[in-house]
Amino acid sequence: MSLPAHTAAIERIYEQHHSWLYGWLKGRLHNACDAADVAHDTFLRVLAARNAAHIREPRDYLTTIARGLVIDRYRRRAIESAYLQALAARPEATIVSEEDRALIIETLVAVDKALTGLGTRARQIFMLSQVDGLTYQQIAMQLRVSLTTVKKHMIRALTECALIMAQP
Amino acid sequence: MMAAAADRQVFETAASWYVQFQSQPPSLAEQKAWQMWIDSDPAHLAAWNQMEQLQRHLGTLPQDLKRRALNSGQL
Repeated sequence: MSLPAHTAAIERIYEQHHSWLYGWLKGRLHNACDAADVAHDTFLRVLAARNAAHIREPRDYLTTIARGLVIDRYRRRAIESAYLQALAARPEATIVSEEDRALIIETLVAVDKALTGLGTRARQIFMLSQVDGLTYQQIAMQLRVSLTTVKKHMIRALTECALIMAQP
Repeated sequence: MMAAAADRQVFETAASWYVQFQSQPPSLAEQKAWQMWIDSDPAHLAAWNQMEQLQRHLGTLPQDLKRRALNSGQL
C-alpha cells in the first residue's frame, strides 16, 4: 500500500474514532491519563502496521490492539511492583541504580511475555534453568526427558525472549 | 514480514549457540564456527549481544526476586 493512502486512512480513523477509543479506555481503566496513553500507543501500532487503508471495522481493530496494550500494562505493573517489593524486603541493603532497575524490569517484562506465549513444558524448563539454576542435564533428569528436548525448549524460549527484547 | 522471519532465524541461531555453549565447553572447531557466524553479519553479533544481555540481567537477579516477579505476571 502506498504511504499517502496509509496516512490518509489513519487520519480518517483518528478523526472518527480517537475520542470514542479514549472514552472506551477510560471506562475500563478508570484513569484519564492511562486512557490517553493507551489510545496514543494504539494509534502508534496502527501507524506501524502500514495497512490502515484495508481496515474494515476500525473500532473492532482499535479495541483489539488497545485490549492487548491494557493487558501488557497490567502485567508490567504487576511485575514492577513484585520486583520492587522483593527488593525492599531484602535484608541486606541492595542498591540498584534507577537505570539498572529500568533495564531489569524491561528484561523481566520481556521474559514474562515470552513465557506466556510458550507451552507449559518450555516455560517449566526455562524457569528451572534461569530461576533455579539447574544444568540442562539436571533438568532432563528431573523431568525425565531427553537432553535434546531440554535444549530444544531452551532455544525456543531464548529466541522468544530476544525477539521481544529487540522490539522497539 | 520477511524481516521478522529473518530476525527470528538469526535469534534462533544465536540461541542455539548459546545453549550449546551452556551445555558443554565448546571445542576449538565450534569456537571457530561460532566466530565465523558472528563475523559474517552485524545482525548476528547484535543477536548474540541480545542473548548475553538477557543472561546478564537474569543472571544478576537473586532467585526469589526472579521467581516472584515472573510469577506475578502470569495471570
